[in-house]
Amino acid sequence: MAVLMLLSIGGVFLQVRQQRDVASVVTVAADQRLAIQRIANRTAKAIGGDLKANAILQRTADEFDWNLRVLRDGGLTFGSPGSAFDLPEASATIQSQMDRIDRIWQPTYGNVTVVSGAAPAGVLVNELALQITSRFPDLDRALENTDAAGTSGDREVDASVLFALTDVRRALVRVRLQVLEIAQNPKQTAPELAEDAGKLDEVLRVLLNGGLKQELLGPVDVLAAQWEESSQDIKALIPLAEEFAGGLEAAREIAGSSEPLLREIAVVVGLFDQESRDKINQVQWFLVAVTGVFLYICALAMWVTWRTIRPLDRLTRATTIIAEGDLSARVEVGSRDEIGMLAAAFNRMTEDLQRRDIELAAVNEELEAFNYSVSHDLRAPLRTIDGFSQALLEDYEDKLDDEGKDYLGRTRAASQRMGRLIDDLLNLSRVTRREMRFKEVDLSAIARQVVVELEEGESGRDVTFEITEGAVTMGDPNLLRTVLDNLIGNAWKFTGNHPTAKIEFGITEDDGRRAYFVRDDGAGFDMEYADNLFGAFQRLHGMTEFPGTGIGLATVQRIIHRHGGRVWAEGKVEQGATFYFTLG
Amino acid sequence: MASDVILLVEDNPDDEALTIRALNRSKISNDVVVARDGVEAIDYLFAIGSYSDRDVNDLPRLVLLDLKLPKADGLEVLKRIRADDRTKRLPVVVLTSSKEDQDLVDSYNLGVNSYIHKPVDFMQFTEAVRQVGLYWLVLNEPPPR
Repeated sequence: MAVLMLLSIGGVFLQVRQQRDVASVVTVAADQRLAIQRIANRTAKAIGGDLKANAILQRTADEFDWNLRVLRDGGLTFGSPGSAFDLPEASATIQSQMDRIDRIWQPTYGNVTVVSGAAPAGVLVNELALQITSRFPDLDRALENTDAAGTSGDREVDASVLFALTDVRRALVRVRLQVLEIAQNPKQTAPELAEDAGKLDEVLRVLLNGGLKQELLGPVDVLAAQWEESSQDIKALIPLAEEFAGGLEAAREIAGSSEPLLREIAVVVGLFDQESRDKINQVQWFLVAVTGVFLYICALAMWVTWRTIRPLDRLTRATTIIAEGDLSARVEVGSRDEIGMLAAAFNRMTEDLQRRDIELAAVNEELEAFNYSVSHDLRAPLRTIDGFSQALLEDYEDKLDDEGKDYLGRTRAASQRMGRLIDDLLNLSRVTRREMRFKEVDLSAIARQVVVELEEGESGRDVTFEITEGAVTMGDPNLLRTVLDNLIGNAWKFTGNHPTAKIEFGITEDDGRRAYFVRDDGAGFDMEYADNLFGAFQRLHGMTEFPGTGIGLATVQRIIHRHGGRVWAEGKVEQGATFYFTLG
Repeated sequence: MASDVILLVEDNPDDEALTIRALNRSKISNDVVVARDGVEAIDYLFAIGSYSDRDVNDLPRLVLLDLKLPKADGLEVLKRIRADDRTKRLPVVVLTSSKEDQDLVDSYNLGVNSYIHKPVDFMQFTEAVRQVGLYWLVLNEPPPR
């Protein structure tokens, strides 16, 4: 599942990258086509005298060139081993296509440089031509004055002068036409203009040096002077026009190459589009397939989860119901898998539990009855024994000797002791059966009460008590009172044979938990028998030494256990005993 | 006509003898009527059955009631006493061997006046009976008849 997901994600990533590559190449190609159109457009404008277009032209060409290099050298890595997009067949075609584009492009790029260099010359050509043209009316007038001078005066003008003047006129007409035309056709016009302008210079120089008559000399001189300005301009115009002619030529070539360039780029895009469209289709199908598989797996996982969860959910509910005390609850799981087996086992366990619960309830009921019986019926005969022994002692005192009285005394003592045993046993059983009522309990305060009662019950003892204050805990107040009654009572009892005694109640720590202790310096006990201390009817001392039923510590242990705690003791013969306990 | 009779409801003849002995030794001279089971106690109190010729208004001064009795038990007797207008104010002292919490609670819930646990030690038993007699027959002011 995880592997498949990784594969899908990897596949999707790869496809996305390939698509992105395709998209970027196609975008660049589209940009290039636009650039070609813009170059053609700006070339025309630049050569027409638009210097702003000229600046854009050069920049656009630079961008085209850069993009082309990127595409050819860095961008088209489709066939290489590390490529994201594997188009080996298209790659060769695309590469050769890129070479063709480059072959067309390189001269075009040179022409663009020529055009952008020539464009300012074109502007100057226009300006100069305009300037020259503007002087032609003056030249015309000067020429007319010359004609007039030649015809109005002495009729016999030298024929050679007349021819020369005709040449001047003809040359001026030609120059005029050439200047008008030079901006449009500089290549052809510029040499003709140079030739005609030179011829005019020559003719005028010959005329002026040829000994013209006075009436002609003035007008020709004016004409020559006027022409001299234009002649200078034309001399400047010729190289500019030649340069401009080169620009125009280059512009024509650019215009001619833009169509094939566009065509070749279209071929690349077409190739690329076809190949990549196939690929993209594959990619899309792959994506659809991966998504489908993914969704199927998700659905499958959800179904499996639901199948697994449902019986577990039922099991949990049944467990909760049973935990709340209703043992009749069962789990309804029919499946034959592990969960079904678990449910069946759980049901068997619950049935078993229910049966035991019923048995236990019956046993408890019997126990209750037994307790009641013990409490009531066992005591009555004891009272009879004791009562009538006493009656004998009182009513027949004079008929009984000392031995008889002693026997009756023993009878009474035994029956009373039996009474105490019954009381203690009932107490022990009550400690186990009684419901616990948890409250905040101040053990220190209880210890003080116990001490007061002990001192009232048997005065004349020299016992020092040390009670640590603030032993506040949670527990059943009545039961904890019984614990301290027994422990402090024992301490009191087992120090009875010492002239002075010290009894402590305090707080200590056991394995990180709070522990309480009752310590005395009395008879103590042999640690070898420490395990017997807490068993019912277990006594470590003789009856005559210390009285007792041997049930007190058993009761203490039961109470401490019911609180989730632990009780233990340390002691040494004649060196006292310490009883520790924890609570939960 | 009020009598000074003590009704002792007790099935155990030993306990009966010991109680009467304890009363005598405590110088309590009231007549003691003994009912040996719950039904007899009820018959006596409501003048029915074998006691049908008795005056029903002639109530005892005090009832000493054991709880564990044949036929009807002590709690049943107590319930009947408290349920009847004629007897509901009658002083009833439970005198029993039982120290069970449940018996105490039930008895007080049914309106017992006092609950005495019979000690095994006869000396203590005598003392308990003496004090009960002294309190209920001498010190305590009975309800008006």
